[in-house]
Amino acid sequence: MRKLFSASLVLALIIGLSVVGFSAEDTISIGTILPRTGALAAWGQFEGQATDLAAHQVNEAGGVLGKKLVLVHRDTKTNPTSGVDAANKLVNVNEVPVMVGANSSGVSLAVARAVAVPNEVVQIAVASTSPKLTTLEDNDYLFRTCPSDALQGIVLARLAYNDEGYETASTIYVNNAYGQGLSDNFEKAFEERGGEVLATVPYNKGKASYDAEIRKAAEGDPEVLMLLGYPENGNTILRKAIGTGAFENYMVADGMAGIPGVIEKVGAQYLEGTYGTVAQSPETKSLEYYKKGHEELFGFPPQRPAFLQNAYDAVILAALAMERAGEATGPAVKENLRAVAGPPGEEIDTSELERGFELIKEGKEIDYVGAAGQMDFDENGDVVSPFGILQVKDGEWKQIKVVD
Amino acid sequence: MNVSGLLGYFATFAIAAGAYSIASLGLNVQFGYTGLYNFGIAAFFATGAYVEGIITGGPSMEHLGGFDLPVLVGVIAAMVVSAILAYIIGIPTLRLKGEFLGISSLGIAETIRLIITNEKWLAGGVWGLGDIPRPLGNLVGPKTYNWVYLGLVLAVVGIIYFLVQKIVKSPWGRVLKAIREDEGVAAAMGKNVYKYKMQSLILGSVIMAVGGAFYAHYVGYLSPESFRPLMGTFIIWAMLMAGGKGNNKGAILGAFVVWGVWTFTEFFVNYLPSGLASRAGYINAIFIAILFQVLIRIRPQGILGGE
Repeated sequence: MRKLFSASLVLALIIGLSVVGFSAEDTISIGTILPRTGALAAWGQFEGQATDLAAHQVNEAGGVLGKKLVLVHRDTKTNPTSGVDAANKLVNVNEVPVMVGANSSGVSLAVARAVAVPNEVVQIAVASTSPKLTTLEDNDYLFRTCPSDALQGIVLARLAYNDEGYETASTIYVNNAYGQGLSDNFEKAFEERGGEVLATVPYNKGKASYDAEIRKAAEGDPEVLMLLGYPENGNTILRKAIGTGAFENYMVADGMAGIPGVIEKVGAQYLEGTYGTVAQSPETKSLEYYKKGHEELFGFPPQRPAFLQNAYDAVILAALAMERAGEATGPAVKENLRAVAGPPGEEIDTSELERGFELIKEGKEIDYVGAAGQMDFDENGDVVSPFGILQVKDGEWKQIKVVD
Repeated sequence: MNVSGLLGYFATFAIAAGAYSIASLGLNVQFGYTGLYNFGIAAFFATGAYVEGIITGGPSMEHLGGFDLPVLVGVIAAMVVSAILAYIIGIPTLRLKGEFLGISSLGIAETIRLIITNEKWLAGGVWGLGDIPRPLGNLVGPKTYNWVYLGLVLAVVGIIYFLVQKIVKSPWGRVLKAIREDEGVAAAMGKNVYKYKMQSLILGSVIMAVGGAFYAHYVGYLSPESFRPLMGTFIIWAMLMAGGKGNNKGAILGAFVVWGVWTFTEFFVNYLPSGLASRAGYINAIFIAILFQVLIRIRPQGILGGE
């Protein structure tokens, strides 16, 4: 027992020392809460790198308020409990004014409710697309740099009803916040336009057979089947649905659109003419500069098409807002975030960060244009991003237009 | 150096550990004293959390409740609902022995999680259940508030510890221990084994639900993701085994030790060389595993051992 006691004493000492660590006066810290392990680790790793790149570029441009910007990374382990714990560490131990993250909506919402809002710390979610983030009572401390699924539902409805002239549709969606959000918003927008949604069928991941779901969706012969899910099981569903011959037309959302494997696995000849929608990063100068910077700093290009640049933008926006506020506190950042993100003011992209900081110091307004879009926050802290409409042509996803 | 910040974090850490230690005490009644393999803790933890959220949460159009009622009402409702649930689950499963009970209870927990996921009218489904208030939250500022809530949680841990100690030392508790050691002997003494097992299952589950209720206020927002087997069931098993099964002090200590290992190791990974920094999460996970291995090697009976 005595051995155990002394061992735990040593352990406590080590923990104490390592927690305290260095704390220099000439740095400003921002926290990240990203899924480094767990189900979404494949995203969190790379989002973390994108934030590192952003901090690197901010420091090259002279830092924030004359100080070096430092990121403190914490792991949400892709679950709300660990996410809240990680955020508590950032807020209490590191005293950050801003947290970038989380990735999934469930974690972001828990962190906002339990940590960010009560502690008056700004939280900028990077990949949480659930419409719930729009309506949460957040005292304006929760922002996000990715568009809400509500938007994509409307884009899909407009494509199906106005452009293609379908009057009946059914949806099969993956049973999580992403799929349900898309399906609900598509249904609402499609029926507002005068169309009729015959069935909305959720599917659970990893089942051996989806025949029942397909049969249910086929009732009443809808003109188009909206498949709102991920390739993992979505491919199987699509192949099966084509096999039954019950549907003439298919549409998919960003979970599957533009992903090459989908066409190969399902069969190009069957998908010819199928439409899909994806949140589109407009080709801004920031996007180019971000890709170039990524290659220079890490030696390889960004590993994911979306959400990495959203994390990157979140860090830069936080830095600009702190500069404009003149202090690094949550309430001050919250008051200044919209001013630097949107009009009025001179448009600044990430290659001109130094100039952006100069302008702010001179007391002028700027309008940041990010790598993932315009980044103009609305009153709910949401951003609007354009969507690309893709179509399968000759066995490949081709972008046919971009809609706002 | 930032001592007040560290203490502030410690308060939030202890709140989570406190909520888990309540669940760990519940498992101790079931497994530690009665020998019931309940791998379905997540079901009762989730039930407690969701009932608390529905009863105390603000009004919502999207799901049942919120009724905006006091915390005490929420906790009592959580206890009642989980007791009924435990009774229903107990009827078929308690006739099973050992590992078979374990497997079926694991399945039941997943069923409950899927019901919460799919029945949107009940608890918000995949959208989750938001707007759970902070009890006594209007009285003090946010940083001080954590200490107030910690006090509340620790008081509840204390009360439950006291009650469970009383119960297991009573004649009724001795019957449970007899069942744990040898069911046949207990039955031969004329004890209705099934009835005692049912009572133990219900008591433990009610305690777990109380833990879930206090967890709900800690996270402020519930989604089915929180109640997957790892964070809803197995971490609580690890806590009880680390502290010492059949020992209520051990159940509480184990919760603090395991949650401490789970969370404090993250501070070390900040000191990794930059090349390894992007793998920090995995290194942290390995670190946790090694510490558990060491603990199991040194103290297989748990830190405090069993009774």
